[in-house]
Amino acid sequence: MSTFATRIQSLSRASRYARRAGWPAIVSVCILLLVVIMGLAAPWLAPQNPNEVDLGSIYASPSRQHWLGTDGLGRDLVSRLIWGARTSLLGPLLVAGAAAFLGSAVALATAWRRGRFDTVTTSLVDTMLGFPGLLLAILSVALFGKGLLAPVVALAIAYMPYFARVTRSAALRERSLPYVTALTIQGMGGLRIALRHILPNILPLVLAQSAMLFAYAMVDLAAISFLGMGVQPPTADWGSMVAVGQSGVLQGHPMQSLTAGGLIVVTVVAVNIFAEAIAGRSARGQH
Amino acid sequence: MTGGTILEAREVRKVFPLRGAARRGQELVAVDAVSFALPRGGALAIVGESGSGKTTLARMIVGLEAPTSGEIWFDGSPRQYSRRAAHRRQQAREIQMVFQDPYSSLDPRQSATQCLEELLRLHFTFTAEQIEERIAELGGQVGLGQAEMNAKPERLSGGQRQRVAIARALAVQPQVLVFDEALSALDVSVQAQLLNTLSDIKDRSDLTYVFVSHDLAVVRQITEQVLVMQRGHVVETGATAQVLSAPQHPYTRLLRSSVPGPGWRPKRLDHEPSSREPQDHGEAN
Amino acid sequence: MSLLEVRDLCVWVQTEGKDRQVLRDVVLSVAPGEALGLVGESGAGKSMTARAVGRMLPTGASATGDILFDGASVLAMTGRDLRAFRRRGTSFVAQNPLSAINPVHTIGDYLTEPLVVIAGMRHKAASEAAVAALAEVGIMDGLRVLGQYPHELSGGMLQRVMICSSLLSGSRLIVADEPTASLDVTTQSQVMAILDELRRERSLSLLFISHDLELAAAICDRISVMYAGEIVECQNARGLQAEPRHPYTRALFAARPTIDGASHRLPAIPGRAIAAHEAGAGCSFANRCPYVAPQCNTEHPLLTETDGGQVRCLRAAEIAALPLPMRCPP
Repeated sequence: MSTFATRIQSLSRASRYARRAGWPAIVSVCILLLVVIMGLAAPWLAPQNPNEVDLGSIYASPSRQHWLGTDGLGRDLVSRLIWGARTSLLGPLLVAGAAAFLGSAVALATAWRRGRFDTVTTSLVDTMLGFPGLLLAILSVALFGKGLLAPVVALAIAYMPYFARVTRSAALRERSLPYVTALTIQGMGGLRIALRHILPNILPLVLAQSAMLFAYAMVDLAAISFLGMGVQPPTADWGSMVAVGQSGVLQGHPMQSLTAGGLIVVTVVAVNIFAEAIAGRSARGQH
Repeated sequence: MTGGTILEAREVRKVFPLRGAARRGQELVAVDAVSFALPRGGALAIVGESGSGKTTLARMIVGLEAPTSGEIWFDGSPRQYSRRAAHRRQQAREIQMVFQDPYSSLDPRQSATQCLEELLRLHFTFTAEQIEERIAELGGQVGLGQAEMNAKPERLSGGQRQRVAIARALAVQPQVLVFDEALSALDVSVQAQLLNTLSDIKDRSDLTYVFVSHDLAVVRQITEQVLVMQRGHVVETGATAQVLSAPQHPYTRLLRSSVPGPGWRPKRLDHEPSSREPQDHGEAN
Repeated sequence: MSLLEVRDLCVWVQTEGKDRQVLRDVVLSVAPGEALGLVGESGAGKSMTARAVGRMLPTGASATGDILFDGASVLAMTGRDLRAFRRRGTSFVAQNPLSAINPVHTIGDYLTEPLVVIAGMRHKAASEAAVAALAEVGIMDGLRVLGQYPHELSGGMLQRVMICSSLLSGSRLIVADEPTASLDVTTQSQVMAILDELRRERSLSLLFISHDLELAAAICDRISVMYAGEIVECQNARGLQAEPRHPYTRALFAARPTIDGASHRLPAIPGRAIAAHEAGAGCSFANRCPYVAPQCNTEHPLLTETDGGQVRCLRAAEIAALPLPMRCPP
């Protein structure tokens, strides 16, 4: 079958999923797409330079020149919010991606090998569950310096055990099905079975978990930026904007914190709804 | 051992250690000293109820479990047990298995064509045309049309899925096919169709069948030899027609008399196994 | 008067947003103290009929026609009457007891809870009643079993416990949906014997659903055969085994291998069984029937009375004279 035909098939399948998932899922997907486009197309979408300081018009009210006003240094809020999408989304994406990758690897390996390897590895992973992600991130910033990299790595390591546990259960279930036994009898190698057969069948769960981790990471990273340890000025980032906007709130100019905080909330909620929709679909799709 | 014997079991025994603090040190003898000799082109039935050890025996035959003692001989040499994929690949061309549940014995993401293609590429170095030809040939053997071969399992009925499972087992040209209750989950009419298909396949090749089943009527229809098992032991063995029409062992008689048929009435018995048999045993791979 | 009467029951269920018909004009009746077997293959609609009888249709399902229990319409029942019907009218014995009994409760809880909560018995009296009922189904150490959990019992024991629960509820109709399908054949024989014996002793009615014709014929007085969501034949059990009238019933008997001898080829029914919504105009079995005639494809046959039963076939009279499909000797 040609790849074109399969692509058409999967598109129509995708639209069928969308219809079955209901309007909250569709709305959340649209919101997420908008946010992503916002970040990707920032150079073209942002009306002004987000870092252009204009001390003459700090905390300006919304006007035709500054649609949402300006922040404490006279920078255009809209532009900063649009550019902020980049770092605000990139961090959680890296965390979720790394945690998912590591977690899946651990899950598939332990589910396949079982025996002592499984017991030892799972115990190790379980002990890691005891480390609170945020504290680990703060610790790593203290050790390795501020910026995006240290907290992202720390959070990825902290989240991996959650991912690994859930995925391992699903992988174990899948592995116990007769079709895996049939492939084993056929002499197919474990790696191939795990990657080409087990993983695709637990993919909906993996995606749903990743989406959930994305949401958690977004909140955690925003908190880290809020504490001044993540993304450093002058880079626009929603978390740090909420933090920096504190002084503005006290002076009666809540726009920066409100809008940045609002975007964080909307994105996290949209991701959660999306994750639920995928998880719901995978639950329905079970035989 | 004659040249015509393709599969042989010699005093095969399988013991599982029991897990759990309360039962540590105890073991379950799943299969005890089973022996049989199956000629090429023949059909052997392994009959028993739950706890009889028939599934464990089938798994040992196909290579999923290694016997604790005793040997399984295939075509004149003893079978070695190894978890290595390369070893299994070689053994795959000797003995294959068809499973009971049509709904979980196929990868839900693969159509029959995709499944067979993957397997053929794994075992052979065929060209694309050769693969297509072989897939069409297999489809014809099991009675599946092009549309069904290209459909995902969720669109197929139970009977069609079992046909795909049989095609998968036949793809690598094994010499022995083990059916682990492969027809038990199917409706009567579908079962009949599949029994005919299996007879046809056997008639046209020199395949040998091992039928693990609890259904005596099916066993009578398609097998020539039978092994009756109870709690791991063989209680009776012989020609299927003989054993089923004139059973000698009390357990075989009990089995025979429990099969519904014209004029049959259910009977209450005096004894009854009270709790579950210990099902917990060592991990199988 | 019948205890249970189903009249022209049609049921549609929602799958993937569409309404699909699963039952078409189902007609059956069970007299007090009678056992009716409902036999068919997958997709025939037997389980759906059972669910309809208990008013347990899936959400989004719609039904026309009626189900009368002791004269009262089950489909129209509400509130207190419905609860009373579900508690004491009918009881169900499901196929898989492990999924029908709460695994975190003991057997004792399972059996005594309805007695204590609904019948208002004192706990001690309820336990005694449960032990007595367990003895009737052949479980002699009832007191010990009351303290056990479902996973500690074998399949056969659990089914007996479920039958026990039906007896304790005092219901007059037992609906058993493939109760022995997951049991060994020797255990099946025992459980069937218990069910049969107790039913006769207490003059209970039984609606026995199965895919196994011979099993149903062993304990049922009459048998209704279902295909594609409709009843295609109804006869007393002996008569059905001796002289099946509908081509589908005849084909089913012929397609089943027998323990007495092997045939070279089984007379398999070509094609596959269809569900109600897949049936076209005309007879639902027409495309697989060995006796099909041109009018079978256009005219939908009605359930007509014959001596000793009913059959839904345009050519029933002619077919009755023909010999049964022969198996080829080996």
